[in-house]
Amino acid sequence: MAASLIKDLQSAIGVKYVLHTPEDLLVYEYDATIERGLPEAVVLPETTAEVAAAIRVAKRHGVPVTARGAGTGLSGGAIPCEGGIVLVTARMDRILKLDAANRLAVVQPGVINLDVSRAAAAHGLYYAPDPSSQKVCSIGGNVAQNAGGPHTLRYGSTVNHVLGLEIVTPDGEVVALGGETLGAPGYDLTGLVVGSEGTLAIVTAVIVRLLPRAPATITLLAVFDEVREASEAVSAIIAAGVLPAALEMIDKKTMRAVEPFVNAGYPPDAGAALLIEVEGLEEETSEEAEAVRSTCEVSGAREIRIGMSPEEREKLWAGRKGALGALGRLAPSYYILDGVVPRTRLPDVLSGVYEACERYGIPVANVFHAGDGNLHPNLMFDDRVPGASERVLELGEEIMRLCVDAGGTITGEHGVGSEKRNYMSWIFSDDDLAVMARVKSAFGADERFNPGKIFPTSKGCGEVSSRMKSAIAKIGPGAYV
Amino acid sequence: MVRQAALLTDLRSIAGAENLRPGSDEFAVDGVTPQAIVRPATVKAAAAVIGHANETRLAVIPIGGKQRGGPGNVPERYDIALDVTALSGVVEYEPDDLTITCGAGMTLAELRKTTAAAGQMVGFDPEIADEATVGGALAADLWGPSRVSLGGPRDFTIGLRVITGDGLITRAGGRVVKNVAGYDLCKLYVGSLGTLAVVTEATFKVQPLPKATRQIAFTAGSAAAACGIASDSLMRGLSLRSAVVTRAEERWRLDIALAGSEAAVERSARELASLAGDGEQETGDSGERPNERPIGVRIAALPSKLPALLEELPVGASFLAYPTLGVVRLRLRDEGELPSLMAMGAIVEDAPPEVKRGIDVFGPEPPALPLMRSIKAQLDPNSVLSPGRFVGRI
Ligand SMILES: Cc1cc2nc3c(=O)[nH]c(=O)nc-3n(C[C@H](O)[C@H](O)[C@H](O)COP(=O)(O)OP(=O)(O)OC[C@H]3O[C@@H](n4cnc5c(N)ncnc54)[C@H](O)[C@@H]3O)c2cc1C
Ligand SMILES: Cc1cc2nc3c(=O)[nH]c(=O)nc-3n(C[C@H](O)[C@H](O)[C@H](O)COP(=O)(O)OP(=O)(O)OC[C@H]3O[C@@H](n4cnc5c(N)ncnc54)[C@H](O)[C@@H]3O)c2cc1C
Repeated sequence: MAASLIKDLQSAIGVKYVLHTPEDLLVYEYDATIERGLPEAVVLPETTAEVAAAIRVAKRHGVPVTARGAGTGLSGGAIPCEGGIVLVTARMDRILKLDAANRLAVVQPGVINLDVSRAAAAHGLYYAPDPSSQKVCSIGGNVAQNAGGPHTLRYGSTVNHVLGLEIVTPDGEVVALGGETLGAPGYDLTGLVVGSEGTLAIVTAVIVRLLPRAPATITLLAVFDEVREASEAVSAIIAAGVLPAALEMIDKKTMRAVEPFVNAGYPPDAGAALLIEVEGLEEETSEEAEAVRSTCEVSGAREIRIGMSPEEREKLWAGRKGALGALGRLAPSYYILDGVVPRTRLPDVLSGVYEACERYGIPVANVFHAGDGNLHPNLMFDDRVPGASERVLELGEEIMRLCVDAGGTITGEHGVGSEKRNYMSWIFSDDDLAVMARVKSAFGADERFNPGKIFPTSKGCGEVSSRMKSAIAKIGPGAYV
Repeated sequence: MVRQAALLTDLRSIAGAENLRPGSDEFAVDGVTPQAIVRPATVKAAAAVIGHANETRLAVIPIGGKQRGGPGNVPERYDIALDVTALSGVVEYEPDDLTITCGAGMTLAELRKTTAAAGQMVGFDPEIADEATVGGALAADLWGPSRVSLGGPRDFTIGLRVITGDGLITRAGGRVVKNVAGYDLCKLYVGSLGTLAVVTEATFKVQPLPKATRQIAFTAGSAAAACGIASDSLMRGLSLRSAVVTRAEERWRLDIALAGSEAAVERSARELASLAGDGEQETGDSGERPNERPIGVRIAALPSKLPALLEELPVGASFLAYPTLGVVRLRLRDEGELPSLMAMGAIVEDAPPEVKRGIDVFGPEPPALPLMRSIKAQLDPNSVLSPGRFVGRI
């Protein structure tokens, strides 16, 4: 490691905010996945100017830069595959502007997702994208991953709520994209940078759209004997002309795991439950809730609970939200997958997932965004057993194949990162990937911003270990995906 | 003419004689007439045409519904009109998946009919003409007042198949509603006005058709009052599909479209009436769909600043304002007022060639222009596609 790199970084952003001792660096070698890699230096800038200065230093020294928000990513995105500098946005945590009249906010990338909605609440507004990690994950990380959440079904992902960005390019230049007003002329670079996983630019400010809170919300919990019935009900609800705000599924394994902690009252022999939320004017929500109820009944639901008040609704969500924490008690480690299939293929693909897990002898719990066809099988294992992690990764790959074969994709919200880069060629041709690579070179990024991510490569990224637990621990008992 | 004859010979062997015609004014873009018109029957043939143009350094402009006028600078060069209307039809539509894939040459009329048959719709604004094609609507990033409830093309386009300026057939996005695999190049292509790639196929999110719709209109004493009713109804969560403010002499008028369940629309109408207070409820059409004026400009502002901007417009001005979006579309009789409007950030959406020739219709260069130029250089290295038409004459 070049001492001159550290020195230059120190003079760019201050001695205090450049970490380089091995003990300090260790904290930044992992995110919430099962891989890790050690940086040479960690910088914690406070302003856009400091970010730009740090990037210019990196450029001069020819070292890569990997941005890092809260480190809750589930695809190895924030892991510095090729060392270099990790740029942490934790100190860029200010809401720069909250313009209630125009329903927008301008925030720094280190602002925690939930804090935006908290700040907006006084004005009857909120920030719609609600990744389950929203109590800790950063807006910068959300933008980089195009994060989704339970309410993506109705309201879309992060990209649908970002009006503009301030970015720093690999050359260290600060550029404004999009803006507070609509229809800025030119290519939609905002939309391109959202979801680019820190490989094109470092995001230093985000203009987000805020939505008015819906006047009424009703939550339903429908319990089914069989997973297949529940997954068929998902399509039936859509076919009935209802587009719920959220439509989540919890399977048997998950229900059994959470019951002792949450006392949700799940019947011990139930096969799956759907959690459905409808929002809008009172008149409309009650009609839609009724449509959902009768559709679920026709699809074979044996029990349907309805929550109207915030307390009742919170109770119905408790099992869903407590799932991950409870599952964490069942095995020393687990690996969360993220695949998407066309909604109508859900029943078959789910059966395929259970079959594959059975074959590998690896327990699986499914708790996921069923309305979007976005599966999150949680594979439970013990990473201390030699070879266990490798087998889990192998099974994960097989499940991803199932999704792709069904016409789906390899990630709906967690990103490609280093974890899935070699699956990219399953869904994109060489030409498709070449065009993406060209766009990357248009930014001058090449291998300097977050190398080893998104694009297929034969190079490894760090080593495999399990840090999922620590990520969960950080989010607390309320963690859920 | 020798050049034209040689070009026609080349194109004949690439795309077939039956798909080829000599250029004509029918395919003129902003007053520039092409030498040849090709209507390829397949994506492969379309790619071959572009590949040929790339090798011989000719300029190609994709053409859909030929709604003429519309956004874009006068092309710098224009040799081949690539008529994409043969690349049409539904490729895949599974209503329960809430997605549809169709050819770029499909008209919005066909798309609307196909989805309506299953009780669904794609979020293109109802105001957009039926004759527009999917490819043209995406290229121009067409949206209207319903963007407040339906989003714009960037929000509901989830997959595209395109041909780049050097003739590569490539895909972006996919066919599922949620997808973060790799860069979302759909965002780049939507609104790129045929300067990065030619769209051949698109996949959209669809949504259920509303069970009920209703149009109501109110008059108000000021722009602020008219805009205020719209934003209050949004904040109350009423079933707002779109809101448009216009002006007839001293009176301001607010046209609201409601969409939702019967009961929700009914209640929204009631609440709107009370929000409007003593503002009269209007019936009938405003008669203010100004189309004779040849120049169309768009100004975007923060919604809170829109009323003041509207009040400053001359009383005779002809415009449609979208209060919840902060956008006003003005129609002008001549270019007299253009310089002052463009100084306010207006962009010209539509104008006769003689007006366009003297200006950059997109106004001042955006700060990210250098990045945009390098993206253009990567996807269309020899400036084959619609050269000179875009921002900064890209
Ligand atoms: C328990 C749990 C539940 C989760 N639930 C969801 C969910 O429901 N939906 C969902 O979508 N995700 C979910 N996630 C995944 C994760 O929380 C999201 O991907 C989140 O957006 C990551 O944010 P972060 O701040 O932790 O980013 P990090 O993990 O620190 O970084 C993620 C990526 O973003 C890049 N990045 C970070 N900041 C910037 C910046 N300023 N500029 C450029 N690039 C940057 C990094 O380089 C990296 O590639 C969950 C994770 C956990 C652990
Ligand atoms: C009276 C009038 C009113 C209008 N009102 C509006 C309005 O309110 N808002 C607005 O934005 N526009 C408006 N327009 C512009 C026009 O309607 C649209 O540009 C047009 O509808 C787009 O569809 P089209 O199929 O007709 O495309 P065309 O007119 O054929 O082409 C439009 C643009 O898209 C490009 N294009 C077409 N197909 C493709 C493809 N497959 N791949 C890549 N690029 C392609 C073309 O090169 C061209 O630049 C108006 C035009 C007129 C004449």
